[in-house]
Amino acid sequence: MALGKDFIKYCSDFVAGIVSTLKGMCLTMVYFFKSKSTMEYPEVRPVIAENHRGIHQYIEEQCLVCMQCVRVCPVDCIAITAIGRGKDRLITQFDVDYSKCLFCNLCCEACGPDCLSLGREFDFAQNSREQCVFKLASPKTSEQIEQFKKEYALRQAELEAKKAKEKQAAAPAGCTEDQK
Amino acid sequence: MNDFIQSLFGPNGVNVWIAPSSTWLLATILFTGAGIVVFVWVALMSVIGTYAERRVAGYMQGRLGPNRVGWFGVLQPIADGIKLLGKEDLIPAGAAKWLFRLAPILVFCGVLIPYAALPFSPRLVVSDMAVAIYYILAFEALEVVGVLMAGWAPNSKWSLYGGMRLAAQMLSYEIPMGLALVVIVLFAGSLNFQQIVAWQQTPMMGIEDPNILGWGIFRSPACFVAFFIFFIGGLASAKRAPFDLPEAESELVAGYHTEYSGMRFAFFFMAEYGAMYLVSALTAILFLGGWYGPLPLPEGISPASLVELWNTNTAGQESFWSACQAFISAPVVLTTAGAELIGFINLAGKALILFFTMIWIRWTLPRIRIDQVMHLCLKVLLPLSMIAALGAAIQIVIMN
Amino acid sequence: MALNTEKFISQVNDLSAQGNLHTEEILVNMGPQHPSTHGVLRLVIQTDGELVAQAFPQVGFLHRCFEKIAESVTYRQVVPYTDRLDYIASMNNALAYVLGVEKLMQIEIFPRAQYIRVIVAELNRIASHLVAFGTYGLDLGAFTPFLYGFRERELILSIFEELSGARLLYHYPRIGGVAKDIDAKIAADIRAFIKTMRRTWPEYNALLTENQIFIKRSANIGVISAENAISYGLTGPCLRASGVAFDIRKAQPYSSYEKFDFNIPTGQGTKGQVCDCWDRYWVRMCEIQESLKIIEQALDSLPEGEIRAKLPAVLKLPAGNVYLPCENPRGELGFFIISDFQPKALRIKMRAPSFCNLSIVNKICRGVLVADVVAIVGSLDIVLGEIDR
Repeated sequence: MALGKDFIKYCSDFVAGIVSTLKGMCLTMVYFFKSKSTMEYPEVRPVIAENHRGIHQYIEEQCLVCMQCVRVCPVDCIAITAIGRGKDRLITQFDVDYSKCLFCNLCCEACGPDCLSLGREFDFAQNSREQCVFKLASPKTSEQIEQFKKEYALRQAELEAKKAKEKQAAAPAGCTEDQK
Repeated sequence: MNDFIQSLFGPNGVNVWIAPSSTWLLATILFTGAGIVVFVWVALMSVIGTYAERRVAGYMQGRLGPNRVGWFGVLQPIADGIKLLGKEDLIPAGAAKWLFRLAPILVFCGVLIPYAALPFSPRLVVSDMAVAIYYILAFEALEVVGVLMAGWAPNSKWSLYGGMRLAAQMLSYEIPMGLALVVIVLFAGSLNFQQIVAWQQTPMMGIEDPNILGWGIFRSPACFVAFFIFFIGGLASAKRAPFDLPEAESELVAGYHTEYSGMRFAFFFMAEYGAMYLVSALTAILFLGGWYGPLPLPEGISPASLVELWNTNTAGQESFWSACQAFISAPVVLTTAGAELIGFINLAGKALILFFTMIWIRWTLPRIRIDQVMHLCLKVLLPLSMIAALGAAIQIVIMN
Repeated sequence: MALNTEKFISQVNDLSAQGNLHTEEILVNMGPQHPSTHGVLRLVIQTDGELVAQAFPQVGFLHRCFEKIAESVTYRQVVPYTDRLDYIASMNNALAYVLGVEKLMQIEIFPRAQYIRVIVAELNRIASHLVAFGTYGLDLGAFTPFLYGFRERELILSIFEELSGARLLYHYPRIGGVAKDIDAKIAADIRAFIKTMRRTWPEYNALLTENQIFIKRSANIGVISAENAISYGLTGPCLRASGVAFDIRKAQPYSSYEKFDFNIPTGQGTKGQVCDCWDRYWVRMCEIQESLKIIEQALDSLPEGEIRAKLPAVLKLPAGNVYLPCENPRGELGFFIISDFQPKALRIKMRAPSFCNLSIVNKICRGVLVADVVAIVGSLDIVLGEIDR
């Protein structure tokens, strides 16, 4: 009886083999004639979603150098140097190191003045690690920096003088250094 | 001397096209010329094969294949060839150097030599042997020796595994293939290709010129079964999927041709595509009517008669060109040339359709494990082919 | 057809002991780089001719110090790192972590955020199972199903790109909710995807599941009994294929999974024994269908409301520890978080499902052919990112 069962299994395996092979071949032949999903890059660019997280887009005029993006970045890939803070500042360096960047969007969410966002550019491969550091701030010449430093020093001096005058005016007459 | 060449090349072979002479020089020129033509054809099949494989694979998977190099990517195989030529020629330390160098040559020769007996059209064949089928089967075994050498020579245990498995697979599948051939030979009564195709042209069921109905597979249920057995055996013998475990196990560990790089690797692949076309063409000739196909063949005259016609027509002509003009003006020459062309289209068309089917099967089915390959051969195909041979013999006895 | 391997091995040993047959065991190295796309896994296989005697997996090639890094960044900054552990099921990883943090903080999540989390987790489960399906076919030599699976996966990735902005590492589940809301267009895309997936699922069966060669390569291979599965710590589809109907989404529901109606597919031994490679593969295919059901229910009953709770800028979790297991596509994923009221965690330990699933490889690879080892490892569906962390 085992012989009979084995023989039936042998025959059914044989038939199943032929049938399943033909079914698979029909499917691939149907797909042979269907339209193809290939996108012939770079002639055809892919459709990128609105909130795709690609390279940063930085609006330098709005940046207040609050350093929130630097603090919140998990991999410390943003480097900012500036003269001054707030609205009165000159940003000499805003570098993002894309060999480290996770594109996690935490910096853009932390940005107060909304000057940083991840854009839609995704193909920016470079040949070396140094080239992966993108300088997003516009380059400043040394004359510009010196000029700004002088003017900034002047403005700061004015502010200091104004503050000292206000303090003297607010303090009652006759009080001296004891109440400073 | 003349008798020797006659015996080697047969009544329709390449020797008929040039006036037989008794010099060894002419024989050597015949050998080399024919060999070059066949080699070019095998190379062409490899080129078309790599291109077709990648495009068909892409189309079946819902993507385009290579379409950048050249118009629609047709220069891709050329680019691949140039890339392979530029590779470093590495022989592993501890390898058997001369066996290592010899193995791809033997494998390729095992595929190239059977082409000597394979006709391309009714009158175009290198050597029209009386034992053509036997010759082809015998020399495919040379490939097995080459594969064993390729497995042993690189001094790598995984090459050895792959080579031995492949040798077992190729050798075992020759048995059902041979029995399937026996079915056809029993019906046709000859091992010669001309007579096998002539058998498929004989009237059947009252129809004088049966065309497609006269093909081998329709002549008998035994032939129908033998067609599939022969095709599957041919897939295994050409190491094509789903029987490509030895070469695709190189995905996981080494295979028999991993240590080969550059042109040596290219030889293995030319051998594979050459074997694919060989098996497809054999199947087409034996089971699908060969050059006697859907397109009707005009009547022509035999090559020997053509040669006589040339001799008589050009007897009194001054220059070669006027001789040619006189020759071509004879109408029977034009019909013969037409028969050649149509016959070639029929045969190559069927062979290429089967070639495409091999590619189609590769991209549909998973790989079969080696013990299941042997199970399929010895426990499924072998009994089936024996039953088919027995059925053919019984049918012949009953019909006579 | 079954090989009588025990008898064969004992015969070989007898002959060898009598001095009549000189045999040698060969040590073979598979990996760490090999085209079976599971990652950088090294398998050292001791073979006795064609049969495998032992198979030792060696891991650690992808170790990126996640747990150490998690001690030196704040809780919110850990979330992008969790994406990268099991990079194929990124939503599920981040979900497991933020659920643990939220449990320790004892905050309530808005119902709309919970439903959205369920939707994206199930979509990612489908994407992950499509990768498992494709790569398992590749391991066995079927090249075409891989591309068909990725065609559907492309739809999921486009949905995720509209939703979160990225295609693989989303950083979408956040502590307190999710990053962005599902609008009408995304919901319509998800429904269109469900329709497409239901239409193409039978095609996968025609091409791979019912194929006789595939069945012969995967049935009766790598059988794991239920006792072995439980004692080796297997979870996920590998455990369910052994017949143990344990799914964390049903046993310890999180993120409002208790509101949805779905089945737990288990292995029935349809083509061979229970919990062979074919069963593990089939459980994953059935789970794709169940996930489609869950997504449909969630979309139909999506409540209105906010999606993110307002939390202080600096998160300090109360001192204590928490472990909340979640159902990753590969099994039970959990983060054990120890905090001591600092902005940064004291210790975060991740329980990776693939790590435990891989541990059974040596036991089930005894006596199979080398070609089967690849099938077994492929059917376990491991991702080295979470094994090595």
